[in-house]
Formats: sequence, structure tokens, C-alpha cells
Amino acid sequence: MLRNLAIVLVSTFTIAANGTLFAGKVIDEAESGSLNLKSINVISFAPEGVLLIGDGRGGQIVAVETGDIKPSEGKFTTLANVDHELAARVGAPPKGIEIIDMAVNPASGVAYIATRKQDDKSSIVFTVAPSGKIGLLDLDKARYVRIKLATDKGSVSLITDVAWAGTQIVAAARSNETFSSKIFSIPAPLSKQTAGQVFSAETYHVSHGRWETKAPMSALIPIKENDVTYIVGAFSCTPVVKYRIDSIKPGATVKGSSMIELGSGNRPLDMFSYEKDGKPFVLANTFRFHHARKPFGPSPYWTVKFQQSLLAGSDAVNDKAVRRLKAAYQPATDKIEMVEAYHGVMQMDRLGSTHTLAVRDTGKGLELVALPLP
Amino acid sequence: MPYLWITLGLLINPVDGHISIGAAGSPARIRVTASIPADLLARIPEGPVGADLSEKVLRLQLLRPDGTLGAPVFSTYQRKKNKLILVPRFDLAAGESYVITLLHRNRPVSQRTHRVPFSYQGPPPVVKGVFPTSDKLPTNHLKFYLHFSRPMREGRDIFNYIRLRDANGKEVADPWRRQELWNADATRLTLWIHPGRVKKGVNLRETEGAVLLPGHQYSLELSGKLKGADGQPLVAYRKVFSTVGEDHSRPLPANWKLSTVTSSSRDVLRISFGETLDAELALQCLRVRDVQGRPVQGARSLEDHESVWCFRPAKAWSNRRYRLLVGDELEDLGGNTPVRLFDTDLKASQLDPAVLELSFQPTAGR
Repeated sequence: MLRNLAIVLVSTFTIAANGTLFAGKVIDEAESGSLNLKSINVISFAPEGVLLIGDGRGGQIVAVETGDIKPSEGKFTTLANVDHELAARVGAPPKGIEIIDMAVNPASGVAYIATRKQDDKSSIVFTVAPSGKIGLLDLDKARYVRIKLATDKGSVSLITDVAWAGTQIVAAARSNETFSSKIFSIPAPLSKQTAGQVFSAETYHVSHGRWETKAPMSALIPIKENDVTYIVGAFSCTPVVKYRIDSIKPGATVKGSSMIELGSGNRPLDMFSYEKDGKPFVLANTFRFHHARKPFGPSPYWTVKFQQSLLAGSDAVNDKAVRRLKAAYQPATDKIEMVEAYHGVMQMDRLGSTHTLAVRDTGKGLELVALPLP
Repeated sequence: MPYLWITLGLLINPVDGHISIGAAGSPARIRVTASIPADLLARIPEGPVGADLSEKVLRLQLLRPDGTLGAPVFSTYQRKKNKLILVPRFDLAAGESYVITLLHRNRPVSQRTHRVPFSYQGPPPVVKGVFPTSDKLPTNHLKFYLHFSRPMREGRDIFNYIRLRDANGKEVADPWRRQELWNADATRLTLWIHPGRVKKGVNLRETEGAVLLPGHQYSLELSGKLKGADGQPLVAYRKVFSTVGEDHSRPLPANWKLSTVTSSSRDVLRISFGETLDAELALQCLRVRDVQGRPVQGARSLEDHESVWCFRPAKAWSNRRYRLLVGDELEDLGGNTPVRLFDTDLKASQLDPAVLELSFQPTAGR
């Protein structure tokens, strides 16, 4: 029986930034060997240097103990033509690899860049240290836990995001054929027995208070309000929706409330929360597929910063959700702003408490660059 | 041009050195063996050797079109007696040239080049078929399944090479959901018309309009800039179709027509849907069970523009009743399922529950 779960939002509370709120033991019991990945769709980090890999073709999340837990020396300097540099390290021409995703290990400050080698479709994860040294994560000899994402209907073929949320890993996934998106909850710490406790819920979106459709989630992050953990998910075109994490139960139908509308014609890619001058914000980069006809800037990749307080409250939701733009594409509020210094950012992750590390398209090529948090 | 300087350096300071290249089954998989200069032997341990040390002695580098060399290619190194053996971690790339350099005290002492010829894995890839096969589609049609004869090269650029044009040849702007949905071996791409331009009441449809208009003709075009995984261009393809009205009704199994089958035969069971359904889901979502609930094995196929489901059992039909189970994720071309409309109107009255199980009994054989 499907259960509709309403999101109850308390009007007075404190919001804290993501930073240190989600400590916890990640892996209880790892095995050793080859990861046997069929693909890499997304990567992110949990504590203790554990890399989370979303492998859609394999229908699995793989948590890898990288052992990379010592803070690195040095600071990132811009690495121009990063795709050329990485490709050359595996003997490929620049177009011979495609950068899929990037994550920064908060334990060490090292960047992990997931790529696909185009001719034989090998999954390759490069490491780039702040010193600029490029290495490889050995996917054939690793310590890991593999979690298969089984569903009673259809199969998982693409994982759109994966995040650590303190006591569990949360992942958004979709199938190839059906227009549905499931959000998976994987309890931690992980071990071989974890697979049996994974469950999923279908995510929906309501527009104009009337039309309800299934909605695939592109990016997600956990946040905390008054000791309650929520999952904030961004959808195409581009409502930002919030769900209580405890609403993800077997067979549930999870219907979130839209808190923010970032504007149509965009697909969110990466998202993270941070603190600046004592205030919590969320940074999200998106791809604008309307760019050729209705550009927001010089690149189809653009980034928005919004105050995390916009995710609170129960009044300004759905049709009353705060909009970034009003008529004629003019800003509707100063609480949501486009970050011009981040134009062209294709992948990004938080780098410490003051910077973002980004793969940015400059128009002349891709660079790996550290940008101050806006 | 470092490569030129290295060659000149060898002419000025020739030192004994020897590099041999062996190919393990293909020019893309090589094994390089180099003689280690005698005074370095003491510094390089027997057995596996780390890259930090090895790359100072022997390195494999991509030769770029401008004559510069890439950084050393990630390789495994091993010392056996006075030889250092280098094996690249990944297959080298077809059509590319590489330079292998043996160094002594940071100066090149021997060098070889290695080229991997282009080697296509067969004929150019072609489009084997596009589903739905019908040339009449509802205006709220959601997706195409593109089947290719070979694994294709993936990448975010592919949507630039798949176009939709109207009857006047004018390109429909931004019709696709730009998210790659390939099957396991990249021979099938699920191409979604952007659902935001199909869904009711969503900003994107309201500002940009629907992708397909009723009573219009369109052509779906796949350009030769799409490539197979081996780099060969796709043979260009075009599918022409026209649109009819929107489909906002559910596919209901209670309305389907089942053919008769004879016991003790392997007659094909045919189920007529009365409309074209989603090809992949029609093949996945219908299951035949015997009277004990056990799966009945057989071959499934679709006919008549995916409006008829066919099932030939692996073993002869018995004379007992069978059940046909229908998954509630089965979709028609507008994304409607037996239990839910794609756009559910929360103000409308609730839908009648759908029948998701049919039964049939083979007729007596002669």
C-alpha cells in the first residue's frame, strides 16, 4: 500500500550547514579485490576517505576505502587542459576520455576525477593532489563494499547522485525505460549484509497544485534542520525539493514540496552546502540546454548560490515557491544569485571551507581550478 | 619541440641502449623491454618497481600532433636481471603514435617510436531499428529506442547529432532530455523527448511549448557524426513520422484481445493491445504463469507496430488454465500505465482500479 508522506516543516528552528554534521562510521567490513565496475555515473565522498561510486549499468553503489586520509600539502594551482593531461597519462588523445564526475576527498584534499575511456569504455579514476601530481586509483585491487540496488519493478540503469547522510547513504537512480526515479536508502556502517536492508521510494513532483507526475532527481544533498535530516533534491527545470530522510521507506511514495524554482531549461549537476560569514548557503551548478537560444551567460554551464534559509518554512512552497527570476529574466530576489565567476563550471565540489574545486570550460579548453566560495 | 631535441641529443651523445617492443596480441597492447645501463642496476630492485623511480629510466609517452610529448603513460614496471620491462596499464589508442625513451642521468640514450594503426572492428555502425516503428505517433509521445548494429561511442555531445525537423526542414529547437540512457553494451539509446515540454502545467512547456504539434510531420535524423565505439562514423539515418492527437488514456488489459491456442501445441499466443505500446516495456512487463504460478518459458516478440504481443512457449501448452500477469509499469507512448496517467490530475476523480491479470485456457487439440 502506498503511503503519502507529507513534509512537515517547523516555522522556528535553526539551520546548520552540512560540514561536520554527518560524521559516522562508513564501512564495517570490506572485502578486497577488483571493483568490477560496469560504469561510473557519479562519485562523492563519505568520511574516512571512503569514495562512493554510483555504477548504473552495474545497478550498484560501491564504497571504496581509498586509504587516502592524510591531509595533503600544497594548494591547487590551475591545471589547464586537464582533459588533455589526464588522457595523455593513459595514452589517449584529448577526445579519448570523457570526464564524468569529480569529488574532493575532505580527509586529504585530493581531487578524484572519474572518466570513461572512449574506445574500450574502461572506467578510470584519476587522483590530482594539490601539488598537481596526477595518480590513478587502482580499481582492480581495492578494499570495498558492494551494494546492489534491487527493485521489485524494473532495473536501475543510471545513478544520478549519491551522498553520505550520517547514518546512511542516499542515492537517486532511474531506469532506462520508465520515467521513474527512485531514491534509495542504504544503512551504514556498510558490510556484506547491508544489501538486504536497502529500500527505495518513488519520487514525485506536483505543479500548479494540480498536475502530479513522476520526477527523476538530478542532484541531492542532505541537510539538517532542528536535528532532522532532510534530503534536498534538484530536478530538471529546476525545482529544488525537500524530503524528510525518514520518509524513504519501502514502498513509499515520496512527494516533496518545491521550495525554490531556479528557472526552466536547466538541468542541475552538482550541489553542496557551505558556510560563508556565518551564514549557510547552497551552491548548485547546472547545464542550460536552452543556451543557444536563451543564454544566461557565456556558457551553457552556470552556477547559482542561494541562502539555505529558503529551504525552511511551510508557507512558500510549490506554487508559492521562491523564484529566482521574474518577467524578462530579471532577478526576483537577492537570496538567489547567479555566480558569474563560476560560468563554465561543469563539475565542482567543495574544497575545504573556503574554496570550490571545479572542472571549468573556459571556451578554449577545460581547466581544473580552485575558486573562492562565493 | 622536445621530441626533436631528444633526437638531436642522441646524435651528439650516443650511449649504448636497447629497447625492444613486443605486442601482446595487438599493437595496442605492448610490452617494452629495455636494457638498464650498468651503473643504474644497483638502484633498481629486482621484481616490481615503482613508477616514481622507473619513469626516470624508461618512459612511454603519447606523441602529440604538434610534436610535443605527453606525460609518461601510466604503466607497470618490473626488473628482470638487467632488463626493465614496461607494460602500459591501458590499451594504447588506435591511430596514435608513441615515443619510448630510455634515460640515463636524465638524458635520453635510446628511443623508439611505436604507432598503433587504425583498426576498425568491422563495417560502419548502422541504425538497426527505431521503436516505435509506427509512423503515426501521439503528440505527447515521450521516447524513442534507437538500436545500433555495434556498440556506440558515448558522450554528452551525442544529442548535438540527433535532430528533429518539421516538414519544412526547420529544426525543432532543444527537443531532447540530454541524459544518456544506454543499455549495457551501448547498442541501444533511449532518447527522451524532454518530459518538461510534455507535462502539463510545467514551466518549460508553458514557456517553450510542446515539442510535437498535432497533425504535423517530422523527421528524426541521426548524423554520421555519431560514432561507433571504435571511432567509425554511423551511417546516417532518418525516420519520418506524423502526429495524431494526445493520448491521455491508460492501456487497460481488460480491453485486450487474446488469441486462442490449442493444448498439446506450441501455438503462438497473440495479445492485441488495440494501440502501440512501449516496445521494451511490453517485452518486459507481460509474464505467463501456469496454474501453479510457475513461470512459463518461451519466446516473446512484438508485431504490427508493437500493438500485438506474441508468445511461443518452449513446451507445448497443457489443457489447464494459464495466467497472464501485467506489470503496472507498462507504458503506452504517452507514458500512461494501467494504474496511472502520465499527468495525474489531482482534481479529477480517482481512476477505476485496473485489472492486471488475465487468464486463458488452451482449447482441446484434435
